Amino acid sequence: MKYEARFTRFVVYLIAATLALSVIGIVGLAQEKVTLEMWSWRPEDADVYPEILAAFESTHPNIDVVFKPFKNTEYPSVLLTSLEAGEGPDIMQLKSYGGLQVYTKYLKALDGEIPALEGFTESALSGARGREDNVIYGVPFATQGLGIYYNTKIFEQHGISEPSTWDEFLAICQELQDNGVMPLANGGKDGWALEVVFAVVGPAFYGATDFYNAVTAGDTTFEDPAFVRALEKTLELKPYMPPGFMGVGYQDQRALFYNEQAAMCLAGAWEIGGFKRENPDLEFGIFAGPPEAEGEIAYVSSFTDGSYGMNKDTSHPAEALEFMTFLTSLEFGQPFTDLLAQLSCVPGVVCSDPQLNTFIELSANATPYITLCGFRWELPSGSVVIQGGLQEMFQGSLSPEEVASQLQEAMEEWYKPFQNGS
Amino acid sequence: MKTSQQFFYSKRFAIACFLIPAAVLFAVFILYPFVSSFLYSLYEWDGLTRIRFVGLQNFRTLLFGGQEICHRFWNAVEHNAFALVFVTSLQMCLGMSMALLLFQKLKGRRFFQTLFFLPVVLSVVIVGFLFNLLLHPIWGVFNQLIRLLGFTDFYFPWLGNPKTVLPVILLVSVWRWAGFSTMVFLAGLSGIPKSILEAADLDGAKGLTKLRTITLPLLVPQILIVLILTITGNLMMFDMVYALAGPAGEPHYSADVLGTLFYRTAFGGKYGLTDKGLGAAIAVIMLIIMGVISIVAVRALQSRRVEL
Repeated sequence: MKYEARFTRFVVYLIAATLALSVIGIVGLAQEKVTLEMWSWRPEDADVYPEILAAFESTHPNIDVVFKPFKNTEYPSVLLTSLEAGEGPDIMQLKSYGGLQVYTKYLKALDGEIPALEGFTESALSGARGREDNVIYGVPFATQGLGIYYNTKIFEQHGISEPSTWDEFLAICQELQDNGVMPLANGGKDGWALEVVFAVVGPAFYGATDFYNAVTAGDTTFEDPAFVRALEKTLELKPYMPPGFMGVGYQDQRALFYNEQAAMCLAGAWEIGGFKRENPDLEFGIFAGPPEAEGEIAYVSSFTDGSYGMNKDTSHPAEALEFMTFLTSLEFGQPFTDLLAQLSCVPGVVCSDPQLNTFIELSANATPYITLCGFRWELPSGSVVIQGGLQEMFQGSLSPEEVASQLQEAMEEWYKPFQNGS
Repeated sequence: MKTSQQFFYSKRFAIACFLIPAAVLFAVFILYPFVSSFLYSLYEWDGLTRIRFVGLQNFRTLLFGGQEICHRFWNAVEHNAFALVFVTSLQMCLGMSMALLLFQKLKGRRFFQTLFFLPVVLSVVIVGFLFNLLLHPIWGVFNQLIRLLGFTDFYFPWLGNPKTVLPVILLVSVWRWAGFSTMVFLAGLSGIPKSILEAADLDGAKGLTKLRTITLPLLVPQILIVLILTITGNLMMFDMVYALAGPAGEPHYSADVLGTLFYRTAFGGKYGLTDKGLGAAIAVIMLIIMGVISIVAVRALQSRRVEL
């Protein structure tokens, strides 16, 4: 009995000693090598990130970056719960605009900390700014632009080239239709796809960024004649949409374009990969929403997809900041664009994909995607309201003026600059 | 001491013991969500942080707020009311007629029984996909047929036209569920003793009189089941609308119902903006409406029930 007890005690000591030693070992290792945890909502990128991060790890052998993705829909609450508990990752992907705001109190303000951020376009940075304080909380990683895709073969067959004005664009549509070709693939069944159509056409007529700045500051309203005119111009596309276009949804419009049944499609940069996958023989080009008169700027509505933020309570602030700086460099931006086929926000990225490159070039004239960047913060969001309004407008039950006042009225429910004025 | 021992060996204690598993499951999966969703409806809550207690404010916003969400709410209520009347009456009549037809000793009865029941076993995703294709304005069979027959006035984007989208979705829903009510009615019909029907025949009762005075009163239990299921099914309607018109009942909320409005508000159908409190309030209102209508319907029919 006594012997047994002594033996048990010996085993317990042995286990304790082993544990203690291993803990010391781990601590010792950790002092040599810092591990930064990086959270993301894109599990689909998990295979590619190690390759993108290799460049950083080779120059910083003492820092190990672990990419940890979560399910897209669960990510915001997982992240917030973890940050509220005082934990959270060192580096994290952040949604843009409205989706960023609840996290700002846990994030490190980056103004002045990372000099390279000054080279980023304001349109990219706007997605990573706090709404109250206008401070930059993240390094934007991807941007999206909206434009007009066209089928090169169909254009060549009919001897058509890219239009440089709105009237030329409409003339092209008419010519295609007269020749029995469906000019546009866009339909109205999915409201958000119509919102994209408006964002492609609108900026040239409502006055792009100048109007955006004025309306977001509350200096003007959506009932401004210029904005109403932009809606009217969008409606001019109606005759060139597919038959029964109100029953044509987003997937249908994609199919109409990549199956070469329609000559053009107003859509976002994110389509490039999909179009090529669905129909490898498809030859297509992209141009921006045409301006009213020759020589005017052709604007591209764009928005930031997301940014990388840094936990302000991270236990490795120096290393995390070093990593954040890496995220602003070409060493990150180039492989990010090459391997993920997304538009990196890092200035100077060159793209081997010709269509993606077109978007990069067109994005020199980027203007904020108005309803998303300015009014997708609270319910009812500007996007949701204009989507319904556009559907009614294309259906013929609302006039452009009514759509504009509907949008204005709904935004006055929560948009402070509008409330102060009235 | 004696009394407690007696209690442990009593039949009542044994019965209580057997009830525990069910009671626990009920508490966890029904009672807790029920009570908590009612509590949630009293908070302002964006889905990430519960901001503050607001009492009945959410209900006020929904019912009389005059804001965007209030318009959406009444719009959805209107659609649910339409669906309730439209689907319930159609499904009852259709189910009853098909059951009466199948009850006749017709040739191929079995075959038709199976055929009518087939849509019920199809998944709603498949049904949605099928009808999206059939009704497609460009490559849909339905519109091709209309064009072929020359009825060009009826060439519609059926699911894209605000006037037709809801009726079309409801018709698909009737198509899907009519077989179910047929089967329930058929089972009820088979349960009616032959002797009663024969006696009615001897008394000279014919067709409609027989149906009105004998068959229908004896079918009240089955009618009740189908009625309750149709009413609750229609007030909770979500899947069919989602499959055919998306989470917002597009175009422009023409097919939006309380189920989809609840889904969008509570879980953020778009852009991750949610309001759990408002969403819970919608759910509570749905529950109240459903409860009231079901109780009224059951009471009204129960009185017409005939005991054999």
